[in-house]
Amino acid sequence: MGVVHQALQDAHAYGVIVLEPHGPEGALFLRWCEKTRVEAAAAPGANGEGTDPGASAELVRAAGRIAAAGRGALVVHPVNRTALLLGDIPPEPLLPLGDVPASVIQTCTGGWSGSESVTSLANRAGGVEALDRALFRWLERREPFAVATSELAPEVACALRSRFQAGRFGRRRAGLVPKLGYRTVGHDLRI
Amino acid sequence: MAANVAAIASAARAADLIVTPELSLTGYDVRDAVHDLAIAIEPGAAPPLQLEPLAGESTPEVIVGLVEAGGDGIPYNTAILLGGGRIRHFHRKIYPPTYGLFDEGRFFGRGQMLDTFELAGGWRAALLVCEDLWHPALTYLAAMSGADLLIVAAAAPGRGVVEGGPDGSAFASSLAWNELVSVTARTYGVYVALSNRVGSEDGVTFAGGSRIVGPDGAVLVSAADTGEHRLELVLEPAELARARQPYAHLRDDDPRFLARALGRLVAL
Repeated sequence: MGVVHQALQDAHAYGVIVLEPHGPEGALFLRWCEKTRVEAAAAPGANGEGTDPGASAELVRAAGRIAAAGRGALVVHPVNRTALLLGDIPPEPLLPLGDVPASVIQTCTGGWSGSESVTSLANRAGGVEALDRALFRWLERREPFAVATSELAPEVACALRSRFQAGRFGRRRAGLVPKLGYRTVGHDLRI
Repeated sequence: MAANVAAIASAARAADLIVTPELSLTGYDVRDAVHDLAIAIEPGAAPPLQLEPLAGESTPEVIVGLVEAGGDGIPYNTAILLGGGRIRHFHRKIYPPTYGLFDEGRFFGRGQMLDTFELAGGWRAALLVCEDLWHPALTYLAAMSGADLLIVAAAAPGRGVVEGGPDGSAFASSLAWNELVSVTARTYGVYVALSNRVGSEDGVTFAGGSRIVGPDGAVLVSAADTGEHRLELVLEPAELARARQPYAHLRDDDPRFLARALGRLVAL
């Protein structure tokens, strides 16, 4: 949260507007904001209403940006590290949970969230813990890919690599992620 | 910089020596702003105008970190000792890290010297900056040059969350630093004073945990990993002898052997 405070100071912002506030990550982040006295509000319309989920997400995002601009706030997306590595790269400038693996979110809150592609991959891997283990071994411990993903079925490993590669461009432009691990998106994981 | 100078000046009280972290005057992540931030210093002379509040005749001696404009046109990550109205000592970081999240080698030159200097009370000290402590050759040189006190000005970020620490979690990098400081102190029978940055800058959280370790490796005072702290300790010369007495490796070490071995190694 120190990074969030610093970001608010640097941006001369009064607080944050949180997208997807009702998911496990969003709820966790809002609790942290309350504990550390960061002004936080859910993005307008972030209650999931709307007949077209895709359009609704874009509208909520736009509403969030407008609300933030009007109130001098930063828009925050609580995407977790697992989703970020596997191609769920939101355009918001501050990603406060971007270095927290989904399995840690699950341990803290009982759940985690990601796009349908990422959650499907986690299910095929036998759970998000298995997915995070493979990512940790590959990216943090730098084990050869085949060794790092040896617990996964070959087609799951292939899909993991494919999603990671597909996120290359987006990761170069990702917002600010507070650093916790040894290879953090935007700091020392730019691939 | 002016705000940092003022903050340090206001904290400088009732001590012989104040130690602040690496680049305490500018912040750590300066990157290509080094050329705008660099100030020229002249060892032995009065400090530049910006630093005068820290160098009064009657103020404690203070170690601060800044970007030095080298006479060769190269910026250096430098720690300086101010006291008695002048710059009494300076140390240019010898090993600016350029790996992982560190990019210092792109912006700073490398120091070429490691000298010891005298403090009040006859203490002989050496000054290192952050990554320098991770190079055993430098701590060895300092000890063999007679240093009783190693002062380390650092801006070490926290990396790798693991179980441990007083509230259940700690940075793995902090645990490594703590081990290194204690082992260094014990190996050479010296006090080690580590001043490490806290707070955040550009997404990186600095791990704090400043400490003073005795010559037997025991932690005498330490700070938490969050929030600014002021640690105070009176160093006891008698502890140096007491810590060194059980061992003879310092007495028996032969730098000439090392010089010969290094001569062969470098010649290759």
